[in-house]
Amino acid sequence: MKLTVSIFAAGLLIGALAGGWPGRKPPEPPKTPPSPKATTREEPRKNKKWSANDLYELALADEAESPGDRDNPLRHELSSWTPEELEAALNEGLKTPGAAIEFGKVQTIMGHILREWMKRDFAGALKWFEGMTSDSVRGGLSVSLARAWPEDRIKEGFAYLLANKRYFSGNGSTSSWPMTEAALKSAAKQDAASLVEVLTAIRENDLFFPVAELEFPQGFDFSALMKAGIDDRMWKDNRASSILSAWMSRDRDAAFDAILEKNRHTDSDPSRYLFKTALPTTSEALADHVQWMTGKIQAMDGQEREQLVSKGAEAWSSHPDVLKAFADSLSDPADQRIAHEAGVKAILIAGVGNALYHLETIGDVEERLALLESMEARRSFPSIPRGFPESEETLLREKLTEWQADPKRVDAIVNRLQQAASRR
Amino acid sequence: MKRPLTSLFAGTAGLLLGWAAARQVATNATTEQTSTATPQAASAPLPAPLSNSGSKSQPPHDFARLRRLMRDWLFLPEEAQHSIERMSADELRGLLTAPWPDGIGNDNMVRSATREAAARELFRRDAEGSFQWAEGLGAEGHTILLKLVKIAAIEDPRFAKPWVDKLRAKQEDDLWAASMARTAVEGAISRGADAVLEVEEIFGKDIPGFAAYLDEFDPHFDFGKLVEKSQQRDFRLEVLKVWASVDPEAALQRAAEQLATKGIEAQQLPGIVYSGVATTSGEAGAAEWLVGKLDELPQDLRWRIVGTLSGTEMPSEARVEALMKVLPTQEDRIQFIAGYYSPFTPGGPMLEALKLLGSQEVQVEALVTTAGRYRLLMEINPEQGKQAADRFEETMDALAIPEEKRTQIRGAYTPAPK
Repeated sequence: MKLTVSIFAAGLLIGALAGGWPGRKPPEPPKTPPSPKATTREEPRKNKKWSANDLYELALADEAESPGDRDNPLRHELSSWTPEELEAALNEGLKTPGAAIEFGKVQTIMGHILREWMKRDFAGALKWFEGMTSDSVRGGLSVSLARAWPEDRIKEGFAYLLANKRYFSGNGSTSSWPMTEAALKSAAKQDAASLVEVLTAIRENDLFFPVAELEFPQGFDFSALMKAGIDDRMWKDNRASSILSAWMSRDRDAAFDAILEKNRHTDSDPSRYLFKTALPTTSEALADHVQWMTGKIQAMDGQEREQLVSKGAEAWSSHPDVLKAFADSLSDPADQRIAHEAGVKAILIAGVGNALYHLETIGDVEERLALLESMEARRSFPSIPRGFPESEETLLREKLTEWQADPKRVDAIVNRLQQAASRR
Repeated sequence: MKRPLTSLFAGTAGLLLGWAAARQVATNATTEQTSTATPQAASAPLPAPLSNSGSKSQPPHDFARLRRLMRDWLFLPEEAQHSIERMSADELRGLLTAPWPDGIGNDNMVRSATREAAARELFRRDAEGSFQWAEGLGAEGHTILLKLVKIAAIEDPRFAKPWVDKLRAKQEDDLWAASMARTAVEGAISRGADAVLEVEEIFGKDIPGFAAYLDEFDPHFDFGKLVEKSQQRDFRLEVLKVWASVDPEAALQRAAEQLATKGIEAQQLPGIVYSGVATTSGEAGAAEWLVGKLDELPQDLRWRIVGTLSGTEMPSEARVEALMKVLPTQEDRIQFIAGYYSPFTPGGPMLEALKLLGSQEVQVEALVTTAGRYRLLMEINPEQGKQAADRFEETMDALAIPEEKRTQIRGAYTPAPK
């Protein structure tokens, strides 16, 4: 047995030496250029060894770059590539199985390469994009083209989009949005006529309408824009918010009248846009805004007025300060009651804290309890989890007890809320 | 004689084992060097890079390198990735548990990529140990545990499955389990068709029908095997489409075989193949390719294929335009229209296709063929039948079909009197 083991061990040793262990230089890999490591075996590459701190620094550096740049995680890797290498890599990508899978890894990498190439050789990259045989890959990459379109060629970019709509079929034909957004922003900075032109082109070409935060120069003619640039469809699709917010901040009376007129003309809810414009940020300006809005509403008559009181209170019910200011400004007790009801109704949406804050603006405890007992509790959003959290219930019970409510009334109010909260 | 024979066997076995072990070590060393310096060697068909190929300071710049570096949608510099792979287990755990400096949010890409790489490395060194450690961290370790399950699903689905079941029974849900099954399929794609079939067996009904990113295929992937054997219908169709994008002839042959043997069950396959060809060749290229095949097909199969050229989706304008331009016979064009015209979605590309037929006579012929397919609906569901009839009228209006010719079309969809 010993002899057999010895013979096996000897064979093992001889075999190992014959096979090249240890230290014997391995055979060259076939059909590949000699690797740096293989040709400089005595002087191995001194790669940097990254520590956790190095990684933290890299993460901080990444954070410091612009969001547009951060979107391309390959930018540093690709910065040393030549345009020819970028083109060759894109062509390799095209031949890769799965190249046509939108949002797939192959196409995502191709999009990053295309964006880098556009920065270095815009004309070359664009020509390659146009020359692709695959409509679907081009459609998938079109969002990268749109995002990387140079900021100093926005007008040209929008014209390119209008002339080549068929290229922008990606993401359910929404892939042109960065170019449309840039065109809208740029036109808004010029004048109403320019913005009307872009809005009309979007409409006539049935382009995807992006959410765009627009900035307007002093003296911008919002009235002209409203008449010529905002059609009924755009209005009803709630795509005019940023325009109306700006108008409201510049000339609120004109904006108020124009909103009501457009709502009547389009047979819309009279409150559409009215309470959705951006609110002033300082407390003084906010109080002034609410006071002004209340004055405008109270100067109106009939059903439209009632609707605006109710919708205003509902819209502001998750901003207790604003709702309080609104309720305080209303002179008619019936209108005030509507505002208070809205504040309490939002208990399952904006939380018990908000509702209690609003209730405590009402001096009469009995009135507060009556509002809670008569409210129609509802959950507007199915995404809000079912049930009435224990912490919320505790808070409500504590406050009702503090108001010296009868324990039976407290139980009844909490039970109603629990039932409402468990409904879908 | 017994001892010498045993000794001879032992000596030979030792010799072979020693030689094989040494070769393996040498090969591993070569592979390591190759993957560091010339990553394209792993996928031989890729062309040599245009520059840097001989550089001692930089690895080649090619697509394969980017695919390798961009793991799980995240990217780290190559040296950073290698450094993480060489860190001690304590350092790796630190990257996952220690707080990162202020200003680096959870959505920071470097942070995400680093944590992913650290978790992967821990898993590769000691799968069971890494899971036990993460589980032992309690609630704080839950996100790490989820990360490890995802990595395991990609790299070792059989190991991952019990953990998927365990976590589903606790905090997670069926949707999460399905996402892990999908991740496992995506990972298996890079190991071959058998690996994918194994994942199907492991995850069974958890595999969702199907929205996976199937683009990390093993270079020698056996598409035919998966199309034949996968139990997931949507998955088979998606794989067939990818197959057609790289090998249209083989994919079409398989689709035609299945159409001939399985009938209606395989009706959409030729259209899927066609869509796959279009993804690489474009609509015009795909149409030209198809026309070259049509004359090789028997008449019946030819029309069945022409009538399903957009698979499960309504054809795009570009597809309609390309096909209507090159389909060789009037009957081909009519069969294509009849396959996709729906009275419930009037207008759009199929109305354009009807307009491209040229003469009103042929338009009527196409509508008569199409209308005949709605006779049964009119009979069994008069309410929907009425809607279809109204839409046919709209189409006839759009084509300005005169009243005397509409009778034929209405007659084609009207059920015979009982």
